Amino acid sequence: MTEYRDAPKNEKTGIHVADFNFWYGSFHALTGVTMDIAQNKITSFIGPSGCGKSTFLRCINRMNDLIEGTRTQGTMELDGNDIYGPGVDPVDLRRRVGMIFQQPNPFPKSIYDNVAFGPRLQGVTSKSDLDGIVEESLKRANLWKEVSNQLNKNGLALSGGQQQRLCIARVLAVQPDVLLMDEPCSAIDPTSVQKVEDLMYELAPEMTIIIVTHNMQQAARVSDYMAFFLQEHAGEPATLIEYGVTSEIFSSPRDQRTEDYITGRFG
Amino acid sequence: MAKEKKLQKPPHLEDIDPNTSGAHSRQLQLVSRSTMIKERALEALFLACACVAVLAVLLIFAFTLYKALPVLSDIGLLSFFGMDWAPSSGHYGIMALLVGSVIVTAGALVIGVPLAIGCAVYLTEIANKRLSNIVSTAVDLLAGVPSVIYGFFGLVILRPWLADLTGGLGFGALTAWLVLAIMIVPTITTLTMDALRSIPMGVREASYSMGATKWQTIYKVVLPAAKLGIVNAVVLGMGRAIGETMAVLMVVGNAPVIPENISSPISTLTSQIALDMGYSSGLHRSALFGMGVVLFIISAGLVGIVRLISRPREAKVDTAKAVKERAEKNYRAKATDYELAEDVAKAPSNLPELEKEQEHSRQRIKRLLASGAKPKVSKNATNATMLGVFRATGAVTTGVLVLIILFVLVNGLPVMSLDFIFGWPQGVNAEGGIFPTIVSSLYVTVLAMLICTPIAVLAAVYLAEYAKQGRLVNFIRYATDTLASVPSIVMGLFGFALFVEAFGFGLSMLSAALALALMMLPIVMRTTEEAIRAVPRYIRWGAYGLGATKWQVVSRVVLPSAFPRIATGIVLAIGRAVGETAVVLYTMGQAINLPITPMDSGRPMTIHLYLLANDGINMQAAYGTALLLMLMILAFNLFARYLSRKSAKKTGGK
Repeated sequence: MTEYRDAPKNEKTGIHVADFNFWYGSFHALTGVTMDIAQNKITSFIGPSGCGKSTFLRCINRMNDLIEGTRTQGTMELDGNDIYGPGVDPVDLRRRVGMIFQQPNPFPKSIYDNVAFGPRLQGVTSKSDLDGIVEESLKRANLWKEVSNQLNKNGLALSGGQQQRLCIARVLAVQPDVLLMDEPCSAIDPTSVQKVEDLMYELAPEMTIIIVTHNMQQAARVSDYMAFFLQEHAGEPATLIEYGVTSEIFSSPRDQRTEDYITGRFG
Repeated sequence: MAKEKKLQKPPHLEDIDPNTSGAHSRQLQLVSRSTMIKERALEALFLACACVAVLAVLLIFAFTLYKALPVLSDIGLLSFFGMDWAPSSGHYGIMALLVGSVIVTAGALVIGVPLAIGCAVYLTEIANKRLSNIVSTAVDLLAGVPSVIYGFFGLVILRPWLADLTGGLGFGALTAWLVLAIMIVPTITTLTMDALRSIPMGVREASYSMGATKWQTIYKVVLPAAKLGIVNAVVLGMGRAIGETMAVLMVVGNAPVIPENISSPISTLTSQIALDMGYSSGLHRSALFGMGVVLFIISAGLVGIVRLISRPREAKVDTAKAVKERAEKNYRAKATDYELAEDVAKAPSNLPELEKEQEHSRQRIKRLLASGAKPKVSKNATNATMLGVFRATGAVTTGVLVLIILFVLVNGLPVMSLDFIFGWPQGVNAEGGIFPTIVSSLYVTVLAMLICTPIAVLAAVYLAEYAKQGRLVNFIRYATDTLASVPSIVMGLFGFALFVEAFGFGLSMLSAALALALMMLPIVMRTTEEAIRAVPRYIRWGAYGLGATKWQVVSRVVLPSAFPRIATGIVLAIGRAVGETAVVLYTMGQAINLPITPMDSGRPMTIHLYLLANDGINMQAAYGTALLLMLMILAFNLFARYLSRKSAKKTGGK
C-alpha cells in the first residue's frame, strides 16, 4: 500500500515493526504499519489529530493494554524480541521502554521520591545508592541546579517545564533503552521547550527516542528520522504514509499527502 | 420660598451631599440608590439564613446542656462519668454506656474500614467498567438505606445466626459490630471512591510506564495520593457509627454494663437515650440530655478533626508564594531530610570527575540500579495475591449488600398488595395495611422540605456569591458541618425539648418537621453551594456586562442554571428524611393516626417498622414496610441520579 518507508538503511534496528494492526474494541484504529526504528536515534511521528500516532506510540510499551477491549495484530520487536509475544510481561517491558506524557504527571510526592520511585520498584533500598541515582538523574535532566536544595519539596509545586524535566529525570533513573515522548512540549512554556529539546540531543547517543509532535518545526529540529501517519477517511483505520530521513522528507516528500501536510494544506 | 422648596432633595437622596457629588454622578446614583438598598437588604436576608445553621448548632448545644444541668449539679460531673447506671435507684453514671459506644464503634471500624477501602480500590482500580458502574450504583443506593432496615436485618438474620454460633441470645457487641460495619461500608466506600477518582489518570499512567505493577501503582502511588480523602471517609464513617441509634438499639441487648464478652448484651449512649426517653422524668431525663451533650461534643470533635486534616489540601490551591513558603518551612522542619539534601548537594564536590562525561553518569546509574536486591517473592506473585485480596473484599462487600437487598425483597414482596398500601392497621397485632404511616412519613417530609429549602438555598447563595472568604464564612462552614454530624437521636432530644415542650407544639408533624428540617439543612446547603459554584464564571460575567445587579445575576442566571443540581440535593435530603427514625421517635409520636393538620401526631413508616420488628408480633407487616420504605428511598435516589445526569448533559459534562 505505501511505498515510501525504506529508511533507515545504515542504522542498527532498535524496534522492528511489520504489518502492525490495532483495534479499540471494534474500531480498527491502525493498519499495516511496517517500519524499522533506528537504535539510539531520534525518530519523530507526525500527522494530523486522530491519525493514530499516539496510539502507535503507546503500543510500543503496551500502555494500551490498560485500556479495556484493545487488540493488536502483527509484529513488533524490541532488539529481536517480540513485544507482544507469549510470556512477555508488560511490566518488565515498561522498565526498558520509558515514557514521557503530554501533560507533566509527577506523583504527588517529593522530588526525591519521584525520581527514586523507579529504582525502588527495582529493589534498590540503600539510601546512598538512591541518593546517587537521584542526583545523577536530576543532573542528566538538567534540573539538578534548580532543585538540589529542595529535594523534599512536592513535585507538583514546580513549574510546568520543571515538572516535565522531573518526569524525564524519573524515567532516566531507570535507564530505559527506549524513550517514548508523547507531545512532551505541548503543555510547557517556550524556554522549557528549548531545555527539553537540548536534553533529547544529549540523550540520543544512549537511547532510542521516539517523539510524537504536532509541531513541524520541532520535528525538523530534533529528529533524525520522521514518520508521517494519516487517517484518510473518518471511520477507517489510519496508517503510516511516509517514513524517511527528516531532512529529505522536508525537502522532497515523495507522497503527495505528505507534501500537503507539511506545507500546511490540511491538518 | 418656592425656590428653596425646589432645592430640597428628594427624600431617598437625603444623605447625599450635593456639594460633593456633581449633577452627573447624582444622576447615576439616582438610578442605583433604590436598587442598592434592595441589594443590601437582600444580602442581609441571605446572611441571616446562613446564620440559621450557626444558630441551630449553638441552640442545640446550649439547650441540651441546659436540660442536662440538673443532673450535673445534683450528682456532680464525677459521678456522671461513673460506672453505675441505675436510674431507679438514683445512679446516673454513664461510663458503661460511653464504653459501650466506643466498643461498638471501634469494632465496626475494624471490620468495616478494610472492607470498604478494599471494595473502593477494587471498584475504581481493578474491576472492569461495567461491573464497577453497576456495583458502585448499588453501593451509592445502599448508603441511603435507612438504618432501621440494617437493624432489622441484624435482628432477624444476624442475631439468630450469631446466637447459634456463640450460645446465648445473640444480642451484644458482636452483632452490633457486624450490623454497623455493614451499615458504614457503603458510606466509606462511596467517599473513598470519590477520593480515588479525583486522582488524575496521568499519575497512574506515569506509574505503569515506569514498570510498576498494578499493586505497586495502587500501593505506592494511588493510595498515598488519596490518603487525606480516605482518612476523611473513615472519620465520617466513625461519626456515623458512634451516632447511630436504631440499628444499634435493635441488636445490642440494652444492658448498661461493661460487657463480659463480645456476645453478652451491652448498651450505648444512643440506644439508652432512645430506650429511656419515653418514660423517664426528672433527673433521669436530665441525665439523658447529659448523654446527648457528650454525643454532641464527640461528633463536633470529629468534625473538627476532619477539618484539620483537610485544611492543607484546601490550602494547596492558594497562592504560589504561600506554597513556596510552606515548602520552605517544611523543608527546614524536617531535619533528616535536610541532612539528606545537604549530603546530596555536597556530593558533586567530592566527586568532580563525575561531571566529565555523559557516559560516565549513565554507567553510574546503571551500576547503582544493579545493586537493587531481587525481592524474595516475585513482583508478579505479590501483584496477583494482592489483587486477589481486593477482588475478595469487593466480592464480600457486594455479596453482603446484595444479601440485604434480597432479604428485604424476598420477604417483603409476598406482603405487597393494594390492601397493604392503602389499608389501615387493625387490632393489637397491626394487621392489615400501613396507609396512615405512609401518609405520616410523606407529610412530615414535605413539611420539613418546605421549611428547610428556602433557608438552605438562600444561605448557600450567601456563602457562594456574597460572602468574602474569611473567619465568618469559616465559622458558618464549621457550624454547618457540625450540624450535619449531630447524631440523629440528639436532634430528636433537642426537638423534643424545644419544639414539643418549650414551644408547646406537642408531638406533632410540625415538631418533627422542624427537627428534620434542621437535619436536612446542611445537606441542602452543601449541595446548593456546590451547584452554584459549578456555574461557570463567564456566564456571570455576561450578565454583569449587561448591567445586571448582583441579585439579578443570581436570581435570573445563576440559580436557574444551578437548578438541576440543587434539585438533586433536595431529593437526596428527602430520601434521608423519609428514612429517619431517631429524630422523629420523640417528636412525632407513635400513635397510628392519619395526620390532617401540622399539629396532628402520627407514626411514620420507620417507627412502625421498628416497633413491629422489635415486638416480633407481626413480621409480615414489618417486611412489607421495610420493602416499601426501601423502594421509596430507592426511587428518590434514582430520581436524584437522573436529575444530576441530566444536568451533566446540559452543561456539556461528559
